[in-house]
Amino acid sequence: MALVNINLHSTPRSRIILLFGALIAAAALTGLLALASGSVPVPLREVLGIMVESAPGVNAQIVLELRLPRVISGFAVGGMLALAGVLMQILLRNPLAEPYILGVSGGASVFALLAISIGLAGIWLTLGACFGALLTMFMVFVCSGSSAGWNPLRVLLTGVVIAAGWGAVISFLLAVSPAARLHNMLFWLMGDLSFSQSGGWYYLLLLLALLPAMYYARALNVLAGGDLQAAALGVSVNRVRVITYFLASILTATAVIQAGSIGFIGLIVPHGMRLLIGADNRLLMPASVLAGGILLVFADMLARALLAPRQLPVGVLTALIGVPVFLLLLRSAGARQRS
Amino acid sequence: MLVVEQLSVQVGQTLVCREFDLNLGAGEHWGMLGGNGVGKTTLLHTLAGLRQPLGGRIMLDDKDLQDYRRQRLARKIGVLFQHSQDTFPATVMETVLTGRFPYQSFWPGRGRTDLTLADAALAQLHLASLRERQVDTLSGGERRRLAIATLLLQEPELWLLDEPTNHLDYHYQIQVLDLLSQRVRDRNGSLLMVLHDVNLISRYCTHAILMPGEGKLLCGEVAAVINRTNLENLYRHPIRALSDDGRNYYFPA
Repeated sequence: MALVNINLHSTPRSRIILLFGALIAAAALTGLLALASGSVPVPLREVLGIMVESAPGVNAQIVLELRLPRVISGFAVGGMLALAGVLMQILLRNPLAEPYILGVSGGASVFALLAISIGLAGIWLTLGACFGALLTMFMVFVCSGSSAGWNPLRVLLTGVVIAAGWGAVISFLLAVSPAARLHNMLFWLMGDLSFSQSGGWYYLLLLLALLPAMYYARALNVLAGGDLQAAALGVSVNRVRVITYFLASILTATAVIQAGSIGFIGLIVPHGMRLLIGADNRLLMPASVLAGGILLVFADMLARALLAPRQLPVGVLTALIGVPVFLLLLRSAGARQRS
Repeated sequence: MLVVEQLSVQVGQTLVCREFDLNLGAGEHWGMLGGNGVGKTTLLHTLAGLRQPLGGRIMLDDKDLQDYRRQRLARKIGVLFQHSQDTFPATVMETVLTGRFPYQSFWPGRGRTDLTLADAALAQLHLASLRERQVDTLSGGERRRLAIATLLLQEPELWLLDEPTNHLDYHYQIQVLDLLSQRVRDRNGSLLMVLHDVNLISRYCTHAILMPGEGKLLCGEVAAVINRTNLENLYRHPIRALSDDGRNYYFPA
């Protein structure tokens, strides 16, 4: 019954149930569609059959071994990016904030590209990206900390400057790398799920991040009204900030390691969900995780199917889908408010 | 209720107070007056435990402010800030409910009692019809009343108000100050407010703190400290006084 009382005021209960129902249904449907489509189309009915009883055959192999891991990791990555986006926007108190704004993806990219440029692949790529992401996380944390506590603007500026630095290194690496490796590097930069391995651990990580995020959701609601106001209302502002920073950074780092830098999800999904369900983070965060997952799986499906057998970078498609959808939402929300 | 001992506060190069003692008793209403930039807001924030003092200590109900847990403290001390911030869209109802934060546990969320309290507070401040409006579409005065409604939901014992009448018209200035002082009396709490209007202070306060600057503070009962000479020293500006109904009214010459 506890759920019933949540946010009774601004978003009616029926709307909450409807929205989450729709998101879950959309997630299942998108997953199935993504399993069915690609360079070798598999009929939906057959996909369902394969999922229920793992029959042998080429199609079963394609669905279970090639597409399923990709759908699974795509959903997790999308969810992580969207959640990281929500957290970053509150942390930096800036509606333009997104997961990559503090340079975590830049740092990861530099070391992943280094790995690619010297011909390494697989686990080395992951390790490189991981190192770069962690390095950036600590650099920003150390450089932006001060005795006066954590100032969002200072963190933002530090992060943006470090991100710009990484950007320059990336350009340098691209300029000096042999042409044969450029294609791989560019794909990595644009965000691509084909590198990602299947594995349950990032769902575990997503869950492990979502739990504390939900725990602090009410505090984050209050924090949106300003640090002093939040402190006066009983929030331990610095603790909540540091925890939020590390949650958002770890989520971003994991997503980047899985799939390179996939743009727009972390910016657009949180705002879109805010328009649909309101600003209460207890609803916004789970809704964003679902919507981010759906958007990325859908975009990845199109990336594989549109020009099959060629694959497009999924980051291009998240933007191509995300931008018009977001503009529509913004328009309809504006119309609702005027009426 | 609030006992301040040997408090020294400094902000940048400005000395706000030095070894300042104050005893804020239950039922007392204090007004704080001072020129621009003497540190009224800084002192208010320090008393709320939002800022570390340079020296001295602040005791609330015989316990040092530092020893309180943040959430516990928020049930005792409520602050009305000079400005309110909003970056993300939020409705009036969402905003006013944040005032209940100190009383909420993790999961049960905003229960029906909270909603009832919120509706009552919104009605008292004539905001009921704006319940579902986005905060960024409100006027300055409406936002001010929203911040006050939020503070009413917090139900503190010690009320620290930073220019509560900002943006309010005459009618609402009086209505809001009546409402706030009634609440403070109901809870047998105390109130300390920064105001630039001497006449409102003499109307609503029992005591006053005058801050002429350079760390000097003049405290006492309103009748003892608010007079023409003190005000002229305070503002470094000639002041005129008028009497009506046995009360003195001051205004700049």
